[in-house]
Amino acid sequence: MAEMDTSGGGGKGDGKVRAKKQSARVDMTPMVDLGFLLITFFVFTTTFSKPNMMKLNMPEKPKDDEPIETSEMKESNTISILMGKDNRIFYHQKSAKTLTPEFMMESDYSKEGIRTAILKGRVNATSPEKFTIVIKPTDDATYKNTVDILDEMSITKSELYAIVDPTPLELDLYKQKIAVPKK
Amino acid sequence: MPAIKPKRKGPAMDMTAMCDVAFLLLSFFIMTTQFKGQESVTIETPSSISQTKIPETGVATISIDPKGKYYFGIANAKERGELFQRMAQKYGVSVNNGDLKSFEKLSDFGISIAGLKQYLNLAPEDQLNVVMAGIPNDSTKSELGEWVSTYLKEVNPSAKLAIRGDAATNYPAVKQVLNELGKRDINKFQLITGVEGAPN
Repeated sequence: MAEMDTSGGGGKGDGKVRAKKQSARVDMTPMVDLGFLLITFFVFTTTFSKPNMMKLNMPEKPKDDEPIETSEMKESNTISILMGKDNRIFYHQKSAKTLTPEFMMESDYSKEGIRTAILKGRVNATSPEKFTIVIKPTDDATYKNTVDILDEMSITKSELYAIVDPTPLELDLYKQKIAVPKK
Repeated sequence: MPAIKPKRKGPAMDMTAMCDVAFLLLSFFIMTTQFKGQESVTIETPSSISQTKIPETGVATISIDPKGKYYFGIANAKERGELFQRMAQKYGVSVNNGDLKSFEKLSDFGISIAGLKQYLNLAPEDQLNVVMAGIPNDSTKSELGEWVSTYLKEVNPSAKLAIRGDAATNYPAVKQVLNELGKRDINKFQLITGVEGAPN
């Protein structure tokens, strides 16, 4: 295959030009080397893992002249999660009026932490299909915390969740709690 | 009778087949490779278990770096020029063909529209040295919101908006984007994350 017919001319002696049949093999080794070198280059420059994306739909902003629709939620049917500084996280299942510091529990982002709290909350909820998770990132939270919590939503298969700002009372309690270092 | 002498020959392998394979693979990789454009900021995204892959075209990306600076970029180079023209018109900035060409090469940028023209006039090697200040996104004057809504409403209505935040980005910077875009009736976002295995 990789042979070429080269007609080497030149006979000896009697002036007769005789075609000398000779097969010249082309050495393919450098070419293969080059080929694989380039392959290696392109393999490494190809982006292996394309980043993933997760959906986040925010509620529409109410227009000024429209009444804000509110629906009553039983407090046992919701769980509020506050994300704070240094990857600390707090949750409670109380309404704004009945919330006191002892009801605000600290948790963490591990499997045994907030995930268990969400699942437990749903099991104990009066109507689990309407169990709502209210995500309240404080100003100390990072983007990673938000993504982690949204991830927990898909892990725990929670459909009803919302990202809202913490209430002033919650912020107060959060400040009290965050001042105490984690045990 | 002459004895049969084995001809001395070095072990030569036929490289032809190997060469064929090598170049076949090579052409495959050349054709499938998509070079990433020079990104103006390095962002370490957090990871999630989400399995949805980001589409290759029709995506506008807002990047937020750990300091809360905003960068904006669109994947499709052809749409960049159109978007830039519309934005320049809105902000009363004059653009020439050179600016447009230069802008189409930007995979993302983090400069206010007033400073953009000056940036585009720099030589490509000088552009790398510029520290971008981020696109202004205040509640009174949100250029970032204007870029996004111009792109999503006028240039490519079927495009998706992705937010690429650094793991260390503070939440208020993200909230600010969500607020500004919410004001412009853009409520659907895709958060770009790295890959993580599903939990057991």
